[in-house]
Amino acid sequence: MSAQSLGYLKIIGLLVVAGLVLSFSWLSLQVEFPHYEDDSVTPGTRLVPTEPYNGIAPAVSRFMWEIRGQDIALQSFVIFASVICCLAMLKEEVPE
Amino acid sequence: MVSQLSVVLVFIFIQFVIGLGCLMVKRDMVRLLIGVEILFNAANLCFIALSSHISGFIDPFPQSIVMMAIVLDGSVIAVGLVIVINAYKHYGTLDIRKLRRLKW
Amino acid sequence: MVVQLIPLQGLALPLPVLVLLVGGILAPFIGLFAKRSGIMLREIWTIFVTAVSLFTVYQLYLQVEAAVGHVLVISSWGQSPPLSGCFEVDMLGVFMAGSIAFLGVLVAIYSTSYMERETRLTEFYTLFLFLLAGLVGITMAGDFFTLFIFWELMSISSYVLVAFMKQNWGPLEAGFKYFIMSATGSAFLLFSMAFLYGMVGSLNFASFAVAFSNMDITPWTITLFAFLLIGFGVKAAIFPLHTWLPDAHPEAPSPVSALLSGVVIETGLYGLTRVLFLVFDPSFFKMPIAVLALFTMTVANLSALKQKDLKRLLAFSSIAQIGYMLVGLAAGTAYGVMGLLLHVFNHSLMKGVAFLSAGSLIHHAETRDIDELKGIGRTMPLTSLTLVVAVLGLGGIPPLNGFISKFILFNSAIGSGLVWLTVAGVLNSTLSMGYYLIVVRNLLATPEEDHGVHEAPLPMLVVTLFMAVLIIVFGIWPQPAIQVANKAAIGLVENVAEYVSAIFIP
Repeated sequence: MSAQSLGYLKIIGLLVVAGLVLSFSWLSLQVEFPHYEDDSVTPGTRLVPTEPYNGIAPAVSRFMWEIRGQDIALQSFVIFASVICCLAMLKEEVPE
Repeated sequence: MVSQLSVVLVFIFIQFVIGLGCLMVKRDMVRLLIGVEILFNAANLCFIALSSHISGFIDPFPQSIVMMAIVLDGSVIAVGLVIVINAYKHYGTLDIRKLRRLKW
Repeated sequence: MVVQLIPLQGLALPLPVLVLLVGGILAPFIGLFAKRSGIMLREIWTIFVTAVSLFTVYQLYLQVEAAVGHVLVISSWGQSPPLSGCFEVDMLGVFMAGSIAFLGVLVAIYSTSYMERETRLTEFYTLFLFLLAGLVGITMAGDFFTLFIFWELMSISSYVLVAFMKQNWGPLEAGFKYFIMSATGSAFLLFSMAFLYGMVGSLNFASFAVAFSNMDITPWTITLFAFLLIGFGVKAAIFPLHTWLPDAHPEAPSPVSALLSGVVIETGLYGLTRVLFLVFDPSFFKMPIAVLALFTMTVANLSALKQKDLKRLLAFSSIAQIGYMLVGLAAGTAYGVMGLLLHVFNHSLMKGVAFLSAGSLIHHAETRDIDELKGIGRTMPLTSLTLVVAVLGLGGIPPLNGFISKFILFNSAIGSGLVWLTVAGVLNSTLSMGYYLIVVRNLLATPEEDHGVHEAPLPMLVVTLFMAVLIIVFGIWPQPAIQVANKAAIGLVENVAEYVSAIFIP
């Protein structure tokens, strides 16, 4: 694999990729991610303990349905819209 | 000693760069869709990585966000595949370098 | 906290969103019925639903006007806002929703006659209603993930509406390129949501304002800013990420082009404005946004000079107008944001009428080339007159409304210390008149042969004439629009405390 067979665009692409990997690695390893501290903004605690391992999934799904229920109802419209999109693009062109 | 979150973030960024590289380099239309899917998965992993900050406890908020985001981006990829099917019917090839008829 | 309940069991959504979503769900069934009976039921249903949504937006405006602190929080039964999704409607949301619903009604009336001989009309009108529902939902969302759900609803409807005429190769190629770039932007948006969640603890816009109120600039906030800019900037067609627009807008059917240029890209700009003002200090993003505004305006205007295709020229002009709006965002004051919002409304009118009347001309002449459309002013005088009015308004000629919003934008940039940006903006505005006048000259030239007067069909003609009259009226008497835009801008930039206190009861 010589330099001529790579071509200019691929070399620039490789340099960009290497630069991105190096800068992101510096960013995540050297600079501490400013994670929020518990209970500073959201009142009350909602964390799920990891101890009873079978109890994690029911607790998370209860949280999802109770607190994020509106978003789940709204995403059903997105699914419906994507079904209509697929119908629109796959139907034959029959003049009406 | 770096924290566990930083190491996971490095791998998430590596996956992000793989997704971007796939979008830039590949020339098959379906592989571009897979590149977009890799980017979406990296974002979902980033949510989950940030959910286990306190040891011994799990934060259920980002996990519910991820479950909804997976559904949303699945439907986006479905619509993309339908566009690819129609483009294949026209051009006869899945090579994106042939789709250069719309000139400058 | 004010909650608006509708007598459905505990489901509370802002009424325009609910009307458009229910209209979109019922439209396929009405389409099945219409196909069997042969009456134009689908078009009547679309016009009815969009008119009802415009009426409910006006009612919501009156309610927000009367509410405490001019903010309404609407969330369903059992949801508690800082952790759950909610709709937080303030004057900015009502202003954008009004602009969207208004253009939606007019384009719906126009498309009854434009799309008459096309196939798959049920799916077209269903996706049209879902596009409008997604747009209105974005402007009213109070939580970042609710915004993301409506963002995806708008996006997937617009991918297929751009690629709708799938019997030609052009829309498919443009639709695929638009799809890849826009889906990548959505992934970047999801990334920025993850970072914001990690820094704040919830995805509510009000909690962003509380947590970032004393922020220092770390490498992570700069990364967050970059990801937000890319995520919203792909949809808003900001400089390096605008390359999908000149392909997608010409290839879409004309009513869809008018909606895309008129409201969809401005909604991307709305998202950017909302999040930047809540999260960052205006002095932080002044310089990057100013540089991006300069490049967006200049590149778009220079590229538009070389275009031979009428709709592609108008698409590049849309990118340039987004550049002018970014000047108002870079100013960082309430006056600048007022100029941005006023230009959003004016641009939706002007670009809407430009694309709609260009669509009428192309529908008659079957060509998009400017040289071949020479002299069509004699064949279709009223439609060409509306296109001339729209194009002069886009260039910023005084008695029309484009002049007023551009004046406010450039004035606000001077007041914020960015004099070089104002000079560049004025030069770009003058440069843009160069290619607009080419279009005007070709329309008003004498044709080779005389075909007689063969005007556009009645719905298309009435809509374009009405919008052209509105352009002139808002140019001479802009006070109502300026007042509402002013209230919206003050609500965003200065009254953050009231926005926050609607969610967090102190």
